[in-house]
Amino acid sequence: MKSFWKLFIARIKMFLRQKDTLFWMIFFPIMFILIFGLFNFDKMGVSNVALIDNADSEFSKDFVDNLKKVEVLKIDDNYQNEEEAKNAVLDGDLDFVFIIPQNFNLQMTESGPSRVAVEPIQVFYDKSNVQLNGIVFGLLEQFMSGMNIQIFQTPQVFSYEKQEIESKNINYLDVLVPGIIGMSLMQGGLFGIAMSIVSFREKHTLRKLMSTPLRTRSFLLAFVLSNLLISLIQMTLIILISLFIFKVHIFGNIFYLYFIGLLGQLIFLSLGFAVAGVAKTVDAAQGMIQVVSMPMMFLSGVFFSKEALPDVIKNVVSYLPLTPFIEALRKIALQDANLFELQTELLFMGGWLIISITLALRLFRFERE
Amino acid sequence: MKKEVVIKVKDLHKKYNGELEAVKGISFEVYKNEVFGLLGPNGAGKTTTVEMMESLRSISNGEISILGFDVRTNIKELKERIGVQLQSSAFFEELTVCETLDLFASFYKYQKDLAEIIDDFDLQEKKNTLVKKLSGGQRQRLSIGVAMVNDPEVIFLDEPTTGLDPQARRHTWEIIKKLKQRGKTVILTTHYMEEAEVLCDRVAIMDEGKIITLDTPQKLIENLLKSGFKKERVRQLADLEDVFLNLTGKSLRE
Repeated sequence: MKSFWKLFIARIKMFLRQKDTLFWMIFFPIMFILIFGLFNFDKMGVSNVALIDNADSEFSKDFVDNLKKVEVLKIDDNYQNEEEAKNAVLDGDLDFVFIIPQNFNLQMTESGPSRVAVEPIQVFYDKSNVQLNGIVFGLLEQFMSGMNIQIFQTPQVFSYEKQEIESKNINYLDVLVPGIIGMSLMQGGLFGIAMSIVSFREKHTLRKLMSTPLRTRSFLLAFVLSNLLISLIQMTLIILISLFIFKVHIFGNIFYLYFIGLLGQLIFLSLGFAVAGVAKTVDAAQGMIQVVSMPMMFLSGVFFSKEALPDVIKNVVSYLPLTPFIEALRKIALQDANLFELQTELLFMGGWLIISITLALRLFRFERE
Repeated sequence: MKKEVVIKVKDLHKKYNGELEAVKGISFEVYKNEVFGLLGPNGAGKTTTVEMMESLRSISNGEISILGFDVRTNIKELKERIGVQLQSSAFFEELTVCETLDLFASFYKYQKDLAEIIDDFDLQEKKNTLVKKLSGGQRQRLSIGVAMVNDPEVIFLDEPTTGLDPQARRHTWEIIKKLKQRGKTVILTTHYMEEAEVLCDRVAIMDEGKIITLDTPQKLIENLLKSGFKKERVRQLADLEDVFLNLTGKSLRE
């Protein structure tokens, strides 16, 4: 028991003194958040529009003000000239140009607004923006009929009530951070165990330990528990930095996040032991870990939801250990899921835990004779 | 006077993967309080032999008993009472000298006073230094020091002076002599014949998995001379190492 504690504390001290490990475990994930945060994927789906108001009347101004309230349209005030704006569409700087004609005005009669059609506004757009065009024209249609209804006070017979299901304002970083947590814990488990054990074997540290009465189980327990504690610290730092510096939202229960985090960490720790049993040198261990972790990093939904992948690949990816791990973290963080709602993910993770522990028991050796 | 036998090796064999036979039936005894040298070229089987004695490697055939314990069955008791020094890289680089000694001491039931070890091995000034910042000589002293934390009766030293400069080497010799003065039994492997000649009471020379000779260094030399051997160049009364040490002094450089 005493040797376990001494070894446990020694491991924590060693970890804190290894500056490069600290870098990989803390700054590397933060760098990812920073870089992907800069991309600002939230801007996708917003169209840049120039409005050329040739009428410049009370009515047209009113029209423009209303149009500006439409969220998807980002009105760019820098363009006053028709030609300039059209060229900007050609160059891809703008998506749309709305031109309000000179006599864009509603004739008023004594009995109310005149029913004579107002001269239509002209819309210039790039035909290749298929998706965006669909959205914007749909909106415009809606907007126009809304105006018609409003002006003529036509009774609205048909209507619908909107009920938002996703009431939270989720942005890309909120989606990214659970992925980054999963990725860092995976790396920490694999590298933390495999690299240190293989290097201790290469340097004969393991042999030295085995020449003492130290029990194998004290050694393994100290290794596993110190790594778990380190991963908790790592997770906490990433969460704190995300919350307070990147203003990321976590909607779910933080203790569930930690529970899933520890469970996932155990899977990758065991895989780390399996790699440590097979790899002869530190370089070999590093190579093996890269082969295992790189595809998962890009396919298991660290940066993007795996839903964007083609069906065939998506099916394969679902069976990788990182996928249910990240999925579970994300569901807790974004959808406030409880553990009961994570049955599928927990089932997959449980399966992987059994597989990885079996692999570790089968493959792990202190010494290679 | 009959000497007390501390280590008994009987018809020891080691086969790797059922093919290569690294040790081919060796037998010898080590007496209490002697420095016993195990010499031989690389691949002679001396490391394998020592590792079987330390219970780090399984025995294919034969028997080893140390301090009355069978190496195969009483591993735990045996490990409490022997000290094993391995190559100096075998430590945690990110721990200090003190922490390393303290950690390894915690593995044993009986622990020697660590301050005494630090004093004995001239590590006083370096006790709060990280292992990775130690010089070769300091590491070597630490590695012998760590082998002493349980105040063992039998100590295994594996090439303790390889890679050291002449000053540090002499210093390590003094430490090994001190171990003998304290009544310890030392098993030493080395590539330096001069070292074996200075330190060892008896040496066994191994080649191709067998012990080809075993006696005191003086006896072995006498036997060789008796057989009519003559050195091509008669040894001078001083050699280059003496010149080196005379010019640079015997004090440790670190």
